[in-house]
Amino acid sequence: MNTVSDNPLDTLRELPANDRGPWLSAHADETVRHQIGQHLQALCFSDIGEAQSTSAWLIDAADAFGDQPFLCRMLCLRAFVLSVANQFDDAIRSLDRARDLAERLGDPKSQAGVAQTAVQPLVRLGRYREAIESAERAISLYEEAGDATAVARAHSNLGVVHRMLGHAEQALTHFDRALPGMEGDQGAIAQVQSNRAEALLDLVDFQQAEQAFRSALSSFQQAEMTRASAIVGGNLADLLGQQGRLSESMAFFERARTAFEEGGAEGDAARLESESAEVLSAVGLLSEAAQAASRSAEVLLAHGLRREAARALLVQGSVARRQLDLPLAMDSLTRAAAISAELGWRVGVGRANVEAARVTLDQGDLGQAEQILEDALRDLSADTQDRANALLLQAEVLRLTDRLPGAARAAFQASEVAEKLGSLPIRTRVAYEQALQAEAEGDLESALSCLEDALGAAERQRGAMQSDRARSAWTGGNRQIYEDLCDISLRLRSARSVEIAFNSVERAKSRSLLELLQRGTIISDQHLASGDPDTIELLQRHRQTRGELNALYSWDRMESDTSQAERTRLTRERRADELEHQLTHLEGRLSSLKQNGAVISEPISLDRAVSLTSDRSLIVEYFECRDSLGAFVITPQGVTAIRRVCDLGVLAKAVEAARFQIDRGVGADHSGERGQRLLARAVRAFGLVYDLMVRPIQEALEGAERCVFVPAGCLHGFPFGALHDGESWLVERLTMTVAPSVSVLGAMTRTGSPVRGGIRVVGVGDAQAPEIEAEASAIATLHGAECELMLGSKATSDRVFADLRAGHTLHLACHGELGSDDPLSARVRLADRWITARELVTLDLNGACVILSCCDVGRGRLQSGDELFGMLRSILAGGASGVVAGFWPAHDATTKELMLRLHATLHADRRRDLGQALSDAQRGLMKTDPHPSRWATFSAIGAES
Amino acid sequence: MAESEAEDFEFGYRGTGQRERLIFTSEIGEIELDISPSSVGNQYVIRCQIEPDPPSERIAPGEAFLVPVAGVDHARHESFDESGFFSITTIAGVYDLTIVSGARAVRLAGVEIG
Repeated sequence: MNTVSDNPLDTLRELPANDRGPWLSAHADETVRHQIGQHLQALCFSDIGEAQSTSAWLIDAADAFGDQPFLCRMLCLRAFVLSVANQFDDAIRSLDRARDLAERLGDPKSQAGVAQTAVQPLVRLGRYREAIESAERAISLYEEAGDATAVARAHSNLGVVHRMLGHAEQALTHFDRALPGMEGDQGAIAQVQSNRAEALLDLVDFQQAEQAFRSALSSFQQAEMTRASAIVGGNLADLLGQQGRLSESMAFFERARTAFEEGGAEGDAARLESESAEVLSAVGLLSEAAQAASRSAEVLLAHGLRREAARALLVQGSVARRQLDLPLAMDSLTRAAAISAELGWRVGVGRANVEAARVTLDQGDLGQAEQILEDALRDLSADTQDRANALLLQAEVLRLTDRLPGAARAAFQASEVAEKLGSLPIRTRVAYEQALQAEAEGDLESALSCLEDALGAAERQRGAMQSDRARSAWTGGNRQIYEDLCDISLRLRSARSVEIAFNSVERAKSRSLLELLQRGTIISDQHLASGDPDTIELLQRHRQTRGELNALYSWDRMESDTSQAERTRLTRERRADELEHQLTHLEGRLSSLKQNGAVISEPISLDRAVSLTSDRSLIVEYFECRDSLGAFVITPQGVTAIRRVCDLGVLAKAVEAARFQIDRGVGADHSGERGQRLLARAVRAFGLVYDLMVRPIQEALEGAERCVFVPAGCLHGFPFGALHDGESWLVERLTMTVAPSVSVLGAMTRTGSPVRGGIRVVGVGDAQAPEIEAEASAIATLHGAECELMLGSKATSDRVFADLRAGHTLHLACHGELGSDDPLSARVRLADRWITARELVTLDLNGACVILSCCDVGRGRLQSGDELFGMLRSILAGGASGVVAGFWPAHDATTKELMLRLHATLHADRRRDLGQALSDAQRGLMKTDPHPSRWATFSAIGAES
Repeated sequence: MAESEAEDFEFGYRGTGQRERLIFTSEIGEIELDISPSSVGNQYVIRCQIEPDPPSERIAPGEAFLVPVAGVDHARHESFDESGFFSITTIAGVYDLTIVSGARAVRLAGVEIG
């Protein structure tokens, strides 16, 4: 006896061929036919060979059965199977037969099915016009048959064809028409929304694309289609990453990756991680990018996803090169090139070779770099961003080998590609290369002009980035433009030289801290969660607009030179102009709102910088300028620029040696012969640094009583007071403070109001540091009634936060730690818990003065963009008017003595001038213990009161 | 040749920091090493001060060599001047540190980094 199992295909397969027709005849109901179709389609994706053979005998059985509509349906299914097997001509032949049959039957639904099935093979055969006609015919026939769901599917199909042809607007129209007919089918809705999102990306409408991706994600989740959800989540993460919305992007990447991992799809998870590595690398967050690329490459290889693995290895190689790990870079790139070559992926080979040429160039082998580039350019024949990169590198090699005409030609070719692609990053690099060529020809005027163009373009890209860290990393990645502009303008010695150089230095130094201070670019959830609806709306529009603009500037999707590419470029350029205009308008409106302050972070002007000085007080700003340390000495009389104070490499070694002497002194016994020896070493090491960075500008310091030092590079966190001129420590003759940049100093001076508020003293000690509470009590006694003391269990985080917000002078005596590698994990311990730099960065400190009487927390991590990230930066970002912080382990008893001296001065002069107070305390303390590890480990940050 | 223990800052300090500091006494004097992770990649910075003993004797400028004992292929060397300070960046591994100062050479076996 024959029975119908859940899978009629299995039943039919068991039967002798001659019995299949009669069986079909005996089970001629729609349920069985539907099941046959469903199971055959599923078989296509599990065993295409078996699906082909099954579809062939099904047609024989249908012929024998003699049911013409069923035969028509089987012919369509056969065509579907052949399409999946990439046998498109055979698929079309099967459909021709089905079409004849359907027309003879006069059944619109059968005719529609044929027309619908024909779309895919026609597209794959490049017969687009026929594909569109077929899809339109399917729509019309399904409408005639009154099948709304099928009409919707046909619209979706037609939309996909239009998108493939670059007709994004038409595609969108069909996707929009498809959606109403899919009501209730969340999976189908999600698929259409995902396609809509891609079409919207083609139209450079990032905002709508984001909404469509989010809608697709939600629908896939409702349909419990985990894998599809993860794919769309990854696409959304990529889009957000392009807009510089890093934290959101990484959250989506992570969620999608977890979904893949939970579904056992490790390969897909690794592919997403590799994409996130590309995003992180693009914005210059190299450590994170390196980790993600390294992890994903190996997993992708293990899963046989070789093309994706090659991409991950490319990212790994590129990042390793920028991290100066050249052996790892070359190894990764060689592997990427080999895999790409095996796959016949020429673009992959070309990309790997461009990066390998960079590595070779870094190793100083120009001849080898040139040869590798020639190979790369053969592989990168289309006008793409990759080709432009190769041409620019070729221009660099030719320039470095004094073949300037060739270099100019290569740069020109790159500029043509940049124009064609409308790529702002490439335009920036072309302008930079042209500047260096002009410099090599001795034409400094032209070099300056090109560098100003490059800087303008670089600033536009930077301004479009959302994330604080991304902007800082981006500045660091392009620092050469800023440095060279400074150098060339100073060499030109024109009337504007110093102004241009100063402006350039200030743009590249602690700039994102300035923006945090000015509340210009922080559009945090706090802002969005409070305030009036109009402000919130403005902030949201501002964030979206900047995100879109950033994505436009970092667009690198095009790999082909097609008419669609040209149309997309024009659309993109128009959109960028429009967004620039909108952004300017929004920033103007936001600037007028008091609570948001200035939105555009422009560095301080020279005139304003001069106004921060006085007859007794000057500013010395150091800057890195190519291989040299330079300095601006700012006095009431004006600004003097010294282009070359010393060699940076020599200085870095000397600074490292001096820091080491402090490290040696911390924890060491300073008495006896060994103590004398430690002190002599420190004097010598700090003397060497003095000779390098102060002696050349010593004359300018004559007569000054006070100086604000603005460090650069290796000088961040350096104890300037311990510089030694051979006779005395610098702090013995100068009162000093430090500032991250002159612009930040200006902003602190403007926002700070140092004598407001009271004095709050916090002491949370323990058996390990028993002097903490004694220090706090003694300071409170000194200040008397105006001071409030919080000791031990009373010093909770809530109370301390409240005092910080109230703009008090807050003395925190407690334990401090740097935490993990993340500089925002730096923390101080209160009665109830540790509070971290991450928490403080969002706090409004309202001009508070903060004295951190604890270990280490002044130290941070110097990141690209010449910014020291950590606790200190978080407090400054909150609007503190002055900070005292330690950069080394704080010896309990000595710190108590230093802090008591510091408060004695604060109490006596009432101005709460932290620089004066700390310098006085250091002068006093060094009399009893002259080694700088005792008295120089704390610095004051900010201006004088 | 004697070697000191790693030093911690548990007691008497306002933090819980710890650092790897090694002091060797050798025929050319005291050699103090400090090892800490580099900010770049998986690398470490070794900083060293050579102290003459007796202190009146100057150290002649020379070279310090880090030669891997096993497992890594990453020999490094760095010069130092008469102040006797140098720093070398390298990857994790076990190294022989050899200091060549003037006509004298001192080999310190088995410096473990990382």
